[in-house]
Formats: sequence, C-alpha cells, structure tokens
Amino acid sequence: MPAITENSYVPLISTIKTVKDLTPTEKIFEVELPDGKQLDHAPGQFVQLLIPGIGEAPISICSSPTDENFHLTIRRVGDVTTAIHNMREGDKVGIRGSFGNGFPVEEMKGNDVLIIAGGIGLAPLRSVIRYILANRDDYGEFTILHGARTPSDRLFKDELFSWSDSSEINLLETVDHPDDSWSGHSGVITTLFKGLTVDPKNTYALVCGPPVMYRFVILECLGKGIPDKRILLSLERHMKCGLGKCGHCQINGVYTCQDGPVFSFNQIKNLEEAL
Amino acid sequence: MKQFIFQKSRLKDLISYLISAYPSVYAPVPRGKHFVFDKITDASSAEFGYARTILPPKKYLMPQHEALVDFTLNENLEFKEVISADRQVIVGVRPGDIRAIKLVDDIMMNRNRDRNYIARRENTVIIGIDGIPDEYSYEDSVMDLKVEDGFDLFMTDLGNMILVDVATEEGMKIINSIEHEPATEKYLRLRDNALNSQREMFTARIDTPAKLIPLALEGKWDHPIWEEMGRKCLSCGQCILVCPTCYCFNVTDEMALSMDEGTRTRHWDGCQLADFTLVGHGENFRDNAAARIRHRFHRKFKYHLDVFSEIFCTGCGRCWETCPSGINLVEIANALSSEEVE
Ligand SMILES: Cc1cc2nc3c(=O)[nH]c(=O)nc-3n(C[C@H](O)[C@H](O)[C@H](O)COP(=O)(O)OP(=O)(O)OC[C@H]3O[C@@H](n4cnc5c(N)ncnc54)[C@H](O)[C@@H]3O)c2cc1C
Ligand code: SF4
Ligand code: SF4
Ligand code: FES
Repeated sequence: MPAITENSYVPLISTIKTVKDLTPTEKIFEVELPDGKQLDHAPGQFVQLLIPGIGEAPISICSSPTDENFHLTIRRVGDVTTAIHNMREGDKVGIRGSFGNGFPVEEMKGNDVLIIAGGIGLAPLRSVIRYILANRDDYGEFTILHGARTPSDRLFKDELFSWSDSSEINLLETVDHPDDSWSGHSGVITTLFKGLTVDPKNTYALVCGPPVMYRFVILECLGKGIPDKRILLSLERHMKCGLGKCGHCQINGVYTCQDGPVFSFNQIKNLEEAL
Repeated sequence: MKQFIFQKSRLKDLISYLISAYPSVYAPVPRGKHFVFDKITDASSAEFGYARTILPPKKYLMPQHEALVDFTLNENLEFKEVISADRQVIVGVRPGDIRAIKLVDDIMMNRNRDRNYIARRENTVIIGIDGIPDEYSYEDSVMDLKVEDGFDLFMTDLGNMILVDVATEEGMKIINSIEHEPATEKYLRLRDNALNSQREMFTARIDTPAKLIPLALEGKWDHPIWEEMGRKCLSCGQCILVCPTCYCFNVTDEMALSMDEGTRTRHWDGCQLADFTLVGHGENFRDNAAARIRHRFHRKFKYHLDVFSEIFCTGCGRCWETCPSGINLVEIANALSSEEVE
C-alpha cells in the first residue's frame, strides 16, 4: 500500500469527528481525513496515529472501507493511547497509512467465514465484519465467535446486540468471568467450538486476540479440518515506521508491517518467532 | 571506469582542493587509540593508516539523531518535512564501508523511498581507499576486496604512487585538481599484487563460503552456540551501534521549551537492546540475549540474503572489537559449520 503523502513520515492532519466510550479503558473514535481524502483501506489494515509531542502508535482500522470516514478503537495503555483518550470532537491528530496487507476479502468471496475474536481483537475484525455485512450476498455462512474477559469488557455492545439478532450472522459469545448481568455462555473462547459445525472445504477462519489465544484456537480450527492456508491470523508487533525499515516488527525475515499483519497459519507455522 | 596514477605527495593537495570546493569534508582522524571520521578543515589532519573507524561513515548519510518532521501546535496543527543536505565529501572510505553504503542505499532508495536519506546520499561524494586488515577484520571471507562501484574515486596505495579509479564525472573533476597521468599496465599489475598480499594478511576467517551459511543454519535454531553467546552478552547494544549495515531506528517526538512546536526525530536503535520488540501488554517477542544474538546473526547471514541476495556483513570487525564480551560472528559462523550436528 502506498503512503498517502509524498514523504512517508509526514502525516495527514485529521479531525476527530466523534468519540464514544466503549468500556472504562476503550473508546472508539471516528476520524476524518483532510480535503475529502479517503483511506481506501483493506479490512485488516492499520494506520499510524500521531499525537504530536507524544508519539505514534499503530492502530487497526476498525471500520469497513464501505463506511464514511474511518473508526479507531483504542485501549488506554500508555502515552499515546492515553493522550487520545483525553481528546475531544474537533481535535486534530496525525494519520499515516494505511499500512499492511489486510484480510483477503476478494479471495474469500463465495466461502463461509468464521471469525474468532478475543478481547480487543474484535476491533480489527470489526472492519471485516462490517465489510461482509455490506456485501453479504458475496459470502456463505457467517459465524462469529467472540470472547471477552468479563461482560463489561465487551466492545461494541450495541453492534453485538444487533448482530445477535440478525439472521445474517451466527454470533456465539462467551466471557471468562460472568457476573449477575450475564446469562450467556461462560468459559474460554475455545469452548465455543464444541458443537460448532463448519464446512472445512470452503471455510476461512479469521483470528485476532491476545497472543496466548492463538495456539489453542489454531488447534481447534485444524481439529475442524480447516486447512492451514485458510486460517488467517492478525499479529501484533512493536512498530515504528510501517515501511519495512525500522526493524521493530520483524519476525525472522518477515516484516509484519508490510508482509502482515495478516498471515495464514501456513505462512507462519515455520517462522520460529511468530507464535 | 578510468585509472590514473599520481604521486602520493599530491594527496594533500587533493584534500586541500576538496576543502576549498565543498562545504564539508570528512576524513579519518586519530582519536586516542582509535580512529574516527570527522570534519576536517586542514588537509594534514586526515590520516589513512587505519584499520577501522569507531563509527562507519553511515553517520553522514543516516545520522544518529535526525530530524524528520517539524510540527507546530498553536491554533493550527502543521507538519513540515525537514530535509537538510549540504554537499559533502567523505574521503578515505574502506571497501567494506563502500559496500555497506551500497546495501543501505538499496534499502533506503529503492523501496519505500526515504527522502531524507536520498537527499543526503545524492549530495555525497565518496572517495575510497584500500584497506589495512588487522586481527578483527574478515572482509576477505564475506566480500570481494576489489570494489567496482559505489564511489566517485577509489585510491590504492602503491608506495610512492597512488592508483586511482575514477567512476564518475565529479570524480574526474576532483582528480583534475592535481597532476596525474594515465595508469599503465604495470600499475594495474601492482594493484593486483597489493590486493593479493592484503588477502594474506587476514587472520580471522569464516571457514564456509559465506553465501552458504544459510545452509549451515538449517536445523540450528536451537544450537547451543546461541545460549553460549547469550550468557556472555550484556545487551549493551554497542555492536549494532557501530555496524555499517545496521539501519534500524526509533522515532520520537521532541518538544521545544515553548511547548508549541516540536520535531519528530529518528534515532539509531537495534535488535540487541532488550525492549526492541516489547509491545503493549508486556509481551516481548525476543526476550533473551540468546534469541537476540540469533536474530542479529540471521539478519546478517540469512534473512537479508534470502531477499536481497547479499550478505549484510562486510567483515569490518567493528562489532567484535567493540563488544565488551568479545562476541563475534566469525566464531558463531565457524561453530555452526564445524560439526554435522544431531
Ligand atoms: C498492527 C497493530 C494494530 C494495533 N491495533 C490496535 C487497536 O486497534 N487498538 C488498540 O488499542 N491498540 C492496537 N494496537 C496496539 C497499540 O499499538 C499499542 O497499545 C500502542 O502502540 C501503545 O502506545 P502507547 O504510547 O499508548 O504506549 P507506550 O507508553 O508507548 O507504552 C506502553 C507499552 O506499549 C508498547 N509499545 C510502544 N509502542 C508500541 C508500538 N508501536 N507497537 C506495539 N507496542 C508498542 C511499549 O513497549 C510498552 O510496553 C495495535 C498494534 C499493532 C502492531
Ligand atoms: S556488543 Fe556484545 S555484549 Fe553488547 S549487545 Fe552486542 S553482543 Fe551483546
Ligand atoms: S556485523 Fe560486525 S563485522 Fe559485520 S558489518 Fe556489522 S559491525 Fe562489521
Ligand atoms: S514497523 Fe518499521 S519495519 Fe515494520
């Protein structure tokens, strides 16, 4: 993906259009590029978000290219993410990107899609979910497995509610630690695989979540007969440039910012440092 | 390419010409027991009898700290790219460092073009000189000592005379500033002899042909050499700081005291430092020195070789000489290929 300014290090000055609280530590921001510019991103790509004077952070684009403007869901963990949490509608930020490969939504057409999202991993996957919903007829069975730590950690509660209500999606949810408000399933995300029927011949599994989740989820997918080249994982690495130069994101010889962040299990099963 | 010879005593005149004709001339100068590249304003401060400089000339193409983008915060947020590149000459560059510059050029100029690097590179004249190996040098194991491009002028010391290869028009202009004559067959033969006797001087050697090291690495991911070196490594990062083919970096924001403007600045960074791969939730993908040394070795002798068909080590010996624990890639390479393991 080409950078959208001539100098790859100069960000576009962009405007925060709306801010919404999702959980006590996560907010969703709608961001508008200047001069009617569009990101034209692929679902699964990311941007480098710059808060001038503080620094940059790689953040997944959690909206579909079919949405107006674009959305970032951000967990407050450190300097940059805290700074944007303190910003309001109308404030300006810098945006570079979009970067990375994204999910192969074209190649996936005509197939069933199984999404497996743990915690904030639901954010990057939301871009694909919204894309598929906008092009629903192009895809087969559509299943989402979603796991959160507690009921109040669930992101996009309104959307989860409407997805659970929709005949276009089969949404299965679980929480690790249920409370009185939760009448649904509890247990780790792999427990949702029990009783799940998938057609291994034409299913793509898309996985994003905390690093500990991957091994177990991959085993479940393989157990369902999904071939490793159709198990797609979005990986997180430290990133400083997005341009395949700074070296921080390297997994063996592979640059996550350019060759990823989405990899098939087939691509990474022999990369020693990937999982 | 054209070859000329000139009297060694004219070298000073040539450097004086450079100082008069270019805003900045950098050359090796002694600093304590070592040599460094530094700006010279007097031809007699340059000294060429050195094995290696502490830092490679890369610092004039990709400085250790380099402003990339200026920004202002008042009323309107504004970003402005910072490109600052004056004409400069680096004189006395060893063959390995010329090769290293070519490797980094390819990364910075041919893919996701880096405008800051390109501006500096295009304003740089490179005058090479043949090498003087010492006990840490192993260029001969990883590259051809005879460099064919990547310079404007390349000088070979033949005693009283210097043979010079002229690769560019600018190089020709520089050589025209002093008395010179075309090099005859005799001098070309003398140069070959000089190169041959240089090859004999190397004491450190990698036993396998370097481009076959990827084969020697097969099945050695858990070889005990990584642990052995990892136990000795202090993760001080000296080795990556001095390496001419390392180009990893960090970018930080620096605010002016007024707090209404600042600069995004690029700094050298590297894979031997403990927090290089640390991410948000505390996960660190190379959290021990053994894994980090393994990564550095693979980056020099496999990963980049796979993609760019080039070994990303020039055998300059800087990382070896500087390492407080004496860790060096020759020992690792030889340990990997010495035994047919497991
Ligand atoms: C491709 C990708 C997509 C991501 N998408 C999202 C997302 O949609 N929402 C979200 O909330 N987070 C996302 N992250 C994680 C997010 O980038 C980090 O949480 C953020 O960089 C931390 O920055 P900070 O300044 O707030 O923290 P800091 O104050 O810098 O430090 C907190 C911790 O974050 C680590 N860190 C610092 N810089 C980076 C970096 N560039 N990459 C990774 N870790 C870093 C530090 O090592 C430290 O441990 C994504 C990361 C990647 C690589
Ligand atoms: S210089 Fe030596 S001790 Fe320091 S990080 Fe490099 S290998 Fe380790
Ligand atoms: S790895 Fe060491 S010997 Fe090789 S180029 Fe870098 S500093 Fe020189
Ligand atoms: S983020 Fe810099 S190389 Fe990938």
